[in-house]
Amino acid sequence: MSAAPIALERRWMRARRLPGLRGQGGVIASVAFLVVVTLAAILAPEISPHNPSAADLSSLLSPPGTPGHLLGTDTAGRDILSRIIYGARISLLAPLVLVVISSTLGTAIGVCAGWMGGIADEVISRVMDFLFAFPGLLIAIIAVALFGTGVTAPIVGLIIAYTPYTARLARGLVAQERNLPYVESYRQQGFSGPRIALTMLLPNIAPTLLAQSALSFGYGLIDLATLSFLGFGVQPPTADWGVMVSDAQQGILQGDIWVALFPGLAIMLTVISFNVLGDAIAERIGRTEAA
Amino acid sequence: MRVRDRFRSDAASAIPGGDVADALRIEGLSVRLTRGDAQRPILDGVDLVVHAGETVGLVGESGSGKSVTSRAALGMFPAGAEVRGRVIVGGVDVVGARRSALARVRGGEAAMIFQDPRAGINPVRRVGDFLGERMRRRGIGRAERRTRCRALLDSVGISDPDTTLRLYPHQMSGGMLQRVMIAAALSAEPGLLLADEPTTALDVTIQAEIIGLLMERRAHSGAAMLFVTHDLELAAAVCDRIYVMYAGRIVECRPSGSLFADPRHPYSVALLRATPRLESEVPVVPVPGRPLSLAEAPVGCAFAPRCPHAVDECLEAPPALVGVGDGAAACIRCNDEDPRR
Amino acid sequence: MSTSSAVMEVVHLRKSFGPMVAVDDMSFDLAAGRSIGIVGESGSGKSTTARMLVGLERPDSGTVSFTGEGKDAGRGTRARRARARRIQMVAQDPYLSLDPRVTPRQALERVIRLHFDLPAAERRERAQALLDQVNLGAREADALPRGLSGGQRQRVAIARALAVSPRVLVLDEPTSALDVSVQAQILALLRRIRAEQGISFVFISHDLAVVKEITDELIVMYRGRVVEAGPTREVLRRPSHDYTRLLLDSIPRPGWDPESIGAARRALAAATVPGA
Repeated sequence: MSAAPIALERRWMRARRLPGLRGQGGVIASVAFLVVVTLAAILAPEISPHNPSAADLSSLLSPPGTPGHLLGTDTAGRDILSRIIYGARISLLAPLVLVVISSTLGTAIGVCAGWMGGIADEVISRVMDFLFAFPGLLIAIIAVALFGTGVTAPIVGLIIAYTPYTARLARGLVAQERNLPYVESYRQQGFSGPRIALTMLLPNIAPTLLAQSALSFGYGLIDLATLSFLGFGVQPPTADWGVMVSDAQQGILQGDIWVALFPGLAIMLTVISFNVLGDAIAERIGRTEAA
Repeated sequence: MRVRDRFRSDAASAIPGGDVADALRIEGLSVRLTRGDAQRPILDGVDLVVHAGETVGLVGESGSGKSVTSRAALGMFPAGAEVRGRVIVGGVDVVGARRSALARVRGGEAAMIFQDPRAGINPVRRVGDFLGERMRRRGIGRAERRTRCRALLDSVGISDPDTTLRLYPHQMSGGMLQRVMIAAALSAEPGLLLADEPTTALDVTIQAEIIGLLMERRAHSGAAMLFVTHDLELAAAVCDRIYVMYAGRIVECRPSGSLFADPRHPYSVALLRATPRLESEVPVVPVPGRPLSLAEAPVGCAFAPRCPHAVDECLEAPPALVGVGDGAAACIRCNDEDPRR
Repeated sequence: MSTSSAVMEVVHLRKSFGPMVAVDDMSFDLAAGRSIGIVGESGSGKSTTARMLVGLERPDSGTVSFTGEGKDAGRGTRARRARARRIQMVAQDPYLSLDPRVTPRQALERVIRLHFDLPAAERRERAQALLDQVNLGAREADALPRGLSGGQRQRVAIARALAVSPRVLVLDEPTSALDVSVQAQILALLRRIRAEQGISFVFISHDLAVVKEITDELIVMYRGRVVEAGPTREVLRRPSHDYTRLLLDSIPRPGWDPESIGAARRALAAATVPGA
């Protein structure tokens, strides 16, 4: 018997010790960082010190702190800060498009499967399982092989790869929620199925899907940067964080790591910020449900 | 965090004045949450005694503090709560007791049976492992453990102990699992059994069976029992004495029979009249108003806003327990001619 | 039971889930303004019966019909809406039966809008009248369910069921999750509603003492079958079936003998082949 009360005590205490403010600072910092990055992307022409494509052949690979080049220059003598600012545009926009489309599509598919159940669910789930069998990057590379390099093909490929994740999550949430008495009571009152699913059930699972989307954004950014790095995505000389890391390979070999460091840092901080945000949303949902 | 107003060694925490004949003695126990919008303590000066071998009921509604009181006997307090008073179990004050002393209380002096048996058992372990765990820690051999576990299950009326030992909790019905929990609780031969709504989750016929078993096993072991429930009828059927709680305070404490025949606190009266009874021809009478939330801290009697007999004086200060016949009630009018009117 | 004033007729309902027969040959008539109780333990088929009555579960065979209407009119949304205007349900768990994002007032207006073509002002008035009827104040009416107590939530569920002015209200253990004093409040409210509106009740419960409070007639179910039926007082005073007697004996009261009940339950279980 001794194990039982102690186990329960832990649970009891944990339920009350839900971090109220812990992580609050992290969330604020993340949001602030994302706001800054987004503003930088929008205002790039106004705030960027140099033309991101302008090569200054007189100062190749100048180190950070060089007058006029706060973060230094790359192997072609382009200003790294300006390229990071301009790069934020494509580096944020591409995953945004990816996440918006794949989340919408995935939610629609998942809600259909979860709500209808039966054969529809079976068919949809098997197709999603099939897509799960391929790594996302592989699908994206196949898309590039079919449609050529650029920003569109990798996004299309990754949409196909990401949609099943949202779909599976949405399906699970709907299947779980649809048997709750409140959904049944809507049915019993005579509301139509699609109306319940879309206007009553969906808003209740939306926060969880939103949390997932925030996390997906981070993954999408990394995957797209990877594709750019591998040369399948955005092509040089367009400024893109992944391309910048790729371009920096030569610099790294010469021992000038900052060329890769700063765009890498930009990718990392953005991804972390989205993860923190996603976790914060998820935790908030947990708290509301516990209340 | 717990208020450690006294630092003491294990030996010193054996209270010299504590009556060893009492299985549980709670004196002036107050528990207050320091965070959130709580305006009043969850428990406010609770005094409660369970004599050795006695079965005592603790009756109240959700939020009355009855479960907090019963958990206090195991030294379990809500996190972040400020605790004052003494809770003496088997001669040890568990308020501010050391971990080792608490472990001794929990592992031997007192055992708890919960409302939901599934909450107290690890779902991925077999019943046999659960029952034999403490024996294993004591170094009892495998064969001996098996024999003892079988005997334990047999004692709670499980007809096929060998099969049951191999089952996982999800393969058992709530009633069966509650039997296992009773067996587990009694296996350490505790002096005090704490039962927190042990049958609320069960069907009424199964409830009767489990209560019957619990009463029989308790009598057999000679343990005292604190029986926590919201069901007055059930408490009266099981217990020798009953404490009635309202808003964190004991409002009445009487032998079961006289509480039923002649309740003296208006809340007990109201509760009895709200309880549906088969024999009664009169429909139930609802208690007007609603229970006090933690955010409300009235100056006077907490029940006064719902009380048909409240007078101005009731709103001045919380009434103390005063003797009535064979017990006590916390109402300034409890010795009036007829509080029921 | 006379059929002349019946609002609802239930004929030979049967439902099985796989090999398990949940409800077998369930028939009864419900007269206008009457209240019928269905008691049994978990797995007796009482909740499945309730779900078939309101159309959440489709019977394998048998019918539920309302006077003045035909038999069940299919399974489409329109049929369900028509049925919803005849019969409404209050579910057991008030913590799960309300949409967590919707306030009581919104919930009521939503149902009213679905079933009646009313101008906004009248809709609001009607919702307010329902809130008044179940004694919910302005603060509660505009709070989210998580800010309400169990009793208040159950009042919301009752108001929501009354919003379409149904002729029959199915109450599936509406007080089993509530404290005694709150249960008494809900029972008193239900009594008042029945007296004022002449609405018929089907009251599902496992608690005979509660059923006694609120029903005229009683059906006792055991393992999917009706084992006893009749006027509530008669059944409680002179139970004819062993299971009914067992249920009665199981109710705790001072001087009660729980041990003999266990023996009786096991004897009964042994004598009855499940699902036969």
